[in-house]
Amino acid sequence: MSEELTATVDRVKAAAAAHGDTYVELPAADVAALLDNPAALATPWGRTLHNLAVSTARTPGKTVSLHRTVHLSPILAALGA
Amino acid sequence: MSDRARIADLRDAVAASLAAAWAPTLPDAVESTWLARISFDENDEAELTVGRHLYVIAGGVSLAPLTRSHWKNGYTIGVVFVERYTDTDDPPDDWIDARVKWWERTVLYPLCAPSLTLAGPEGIVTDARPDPETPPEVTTFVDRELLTECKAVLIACNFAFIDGTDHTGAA
Repeated sequence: MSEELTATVDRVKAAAAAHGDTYVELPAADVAALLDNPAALATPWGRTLHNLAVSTARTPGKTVSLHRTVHLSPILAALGA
Repeated sequence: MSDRARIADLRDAVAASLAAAWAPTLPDAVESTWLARISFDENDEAELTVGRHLYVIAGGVSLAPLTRSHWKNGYTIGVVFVERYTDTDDPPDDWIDARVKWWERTVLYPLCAPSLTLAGPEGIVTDARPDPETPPEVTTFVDRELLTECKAVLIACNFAFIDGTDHTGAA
């Protein structure tokens, strides 16, 4: 895993941990970076969130709002994080 | 644009997946349908269910928020397994064992495999998966009355699938 991706994973995990299994807003660019990986893309919600994040990330500062942080678990697991 | 309902496209995908794994030959069949027409009336040969049948049925839809702009769609797909014993004696235990084992290997475990992804033939559903949070629910398991009265094995099970769409239902 690249240093850049490791830093993204750390930011996302920290944001998720701070919210328990509740609503969390993540930078769209971070979500897009996480899902720029075939294993992560192949997880439940991977393709949906990828499409959303990529289209949203074109605008700086935009976020992806996940209603449950648990939806991130399979993506992070696919990245070995 | 297709007139097919979203859940019907998923139901057809489940049926296609089962048919591909099993490759039934007549009178056996996989049927994707809104209503399983099953008959054990031996006096009505036209309607009598003959052979091994899997009926794949759309059972329900639910929505939950995934993000601010997307739904997490939940689908219930029912699969009914039916086969009637046709010899004159009562169905022996090993005949029933073989049917249950076949159902486990062909229906139960494959349809809840975490690696399963399904796309409907109409292209409405493109990336549905077994819901990791909802295990399959067996609603009827070798119905004893059917077994004794009609010499038939019937197993019904509901499987939960998920996918994500925007608020218009588009992927």
